[in-house]
Amino acid sequence: MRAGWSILGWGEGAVNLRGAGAAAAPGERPLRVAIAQMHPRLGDLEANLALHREWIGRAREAGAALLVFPELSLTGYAVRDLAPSLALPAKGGPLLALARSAGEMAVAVGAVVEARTGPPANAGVLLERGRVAFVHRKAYLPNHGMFEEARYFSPGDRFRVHRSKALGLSLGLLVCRDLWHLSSAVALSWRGMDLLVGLSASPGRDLSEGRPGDDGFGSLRVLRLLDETYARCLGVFVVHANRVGTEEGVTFAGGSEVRDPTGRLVASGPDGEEALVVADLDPDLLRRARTALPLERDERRDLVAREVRDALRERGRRPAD
Amino acid sequence: MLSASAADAPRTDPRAAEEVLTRALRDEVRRTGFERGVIGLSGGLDSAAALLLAARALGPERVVAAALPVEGSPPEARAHAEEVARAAGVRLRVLDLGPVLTSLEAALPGSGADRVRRGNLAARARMIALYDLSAAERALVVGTSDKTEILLGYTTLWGDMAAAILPLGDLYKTEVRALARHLGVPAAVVDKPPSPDLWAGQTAEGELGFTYADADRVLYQWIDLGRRPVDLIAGGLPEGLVRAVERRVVGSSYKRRMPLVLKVSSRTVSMEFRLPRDAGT
Repeated sequence: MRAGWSILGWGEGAVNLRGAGAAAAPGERPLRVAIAQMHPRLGDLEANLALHREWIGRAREAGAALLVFPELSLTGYAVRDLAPSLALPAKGGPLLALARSAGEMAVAVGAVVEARTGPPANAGVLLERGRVAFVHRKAYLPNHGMFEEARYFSPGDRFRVHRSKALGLSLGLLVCRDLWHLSSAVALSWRGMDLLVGLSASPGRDLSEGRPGDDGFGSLRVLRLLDETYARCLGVFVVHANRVGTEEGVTFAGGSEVRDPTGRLVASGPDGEEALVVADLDPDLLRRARTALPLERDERRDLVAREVRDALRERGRRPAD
Repeated sequence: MLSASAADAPRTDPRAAEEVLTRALRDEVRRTGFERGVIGLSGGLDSAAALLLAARALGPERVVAAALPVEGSPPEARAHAEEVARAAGVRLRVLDLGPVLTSLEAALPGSGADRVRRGNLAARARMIALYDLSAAERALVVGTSDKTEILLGYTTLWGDMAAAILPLGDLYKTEVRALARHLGVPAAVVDKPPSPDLWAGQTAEGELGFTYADADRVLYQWIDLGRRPVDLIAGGLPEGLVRAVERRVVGSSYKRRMPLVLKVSSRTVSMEFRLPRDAGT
């Protein structure tokens, strides 16, 4: 427990089905969330739909109200030129069928979603109450080093929250690289986000040099740092799924996390193994965390907007190199 | 050995590498439909580390280790291969390729007298043997090349580079040595000078003209840290070393590619149309 935060230290109740026990928050009905830290089959939609139904069944048995899958959970990550064949319509089709099988549970899945024209999008799709409730198209497609997403996908062009009646919270979805651009989460926070849903397929790289405190993949350390920063500084719950398994020689490291609005780690997935990670969240913690540290209230949006406009103007005036 | 700070040399933690590579190797072998792996064991560092890693990933009973000597292979290579197989808990098969090489030399005039040609013939004869074992044993060919060798092109095209998977391909030679020590490769193998053993007295460092430790410093700073060769020289690394390493890397890039396809259509295989190799698994 961090000093100064002990008053907020309840509502924890991490349930990890690997063994830890549950503790519900007193008074409030806890919100049980789950992460499917799974290993999709690359390029095999049918197999992945079946896998999703299995994970949904397990999460339902665990009593989860929200289940989050990783990025491109329905297709695998390195789809390359299979992307057009794997693209699903955002409305109807297999996504709607999956939403129906999820029933009352809200489920976020990673899918290749058809664009109106041109290459499809890499999207986070929220299924809720038997329908496709919300689609976030990944806005930042990494295209450097080992990444070539911009070659196969069209980028999204908006950050919006989804006000979930089922959960009583505003959800913001971000897909992997979106999370590395700090402004994405800030934009969602300005629109009233309560719970950040992160869908990642983050390739493990920059393996440890073995110094004390330096453990595992460097890329995974960044994800954890981002989760904690967003939770604490935006005062939101973070439910961030990162996949496991290998593809094309690349290892995906897992380490999915649930954090509360104080930044505290509520539950986490193991490194490198499949797991259903379950946690109980106390929705009232949003109010208490934002009262104890009112960063969200104090955010000077006018000042930021003015500075951003000025900076853009200045960049526009700057002569080309 | 050049004097330089430790931060300028690659140093992946062997424990972390073992954990990631055993898991990834198991996963990537099984997704191809195989449960077993086959490795050619030379008695040297790389194949020893690859064998111990594979034994941990797949289980020693699911790994086929083959020593493939030819005439002129140093006698200690066989003893080292046996020692390594024992350390891995894997039964060693010794398949004498001497007669194969003799027939090839007879059929290909001049090849026996040219040690480079003869060395390449031996490497490719071993490739044929490993792929036959692959079919016979239902075992995937696990290659043993490391990042330094791959980058320097210090390999025989379609010979020792021929494999389904290279578990050590992203570790520099000096990192493989640390991993080998961690995995329990016998000291005699870890500490001997690397050699392809294509002819008597051959050492890799003698042939390359620089040490692996020096090459790794140049490669790591250039490729992993993104420093330019010209800046490495300005920073005090000998120009001869930096340029020799750079020349080898650039000059051997053809060894790291599939054959060129001459383009005429609008969507050419592997140019416009690229598929994941692991699709459907």
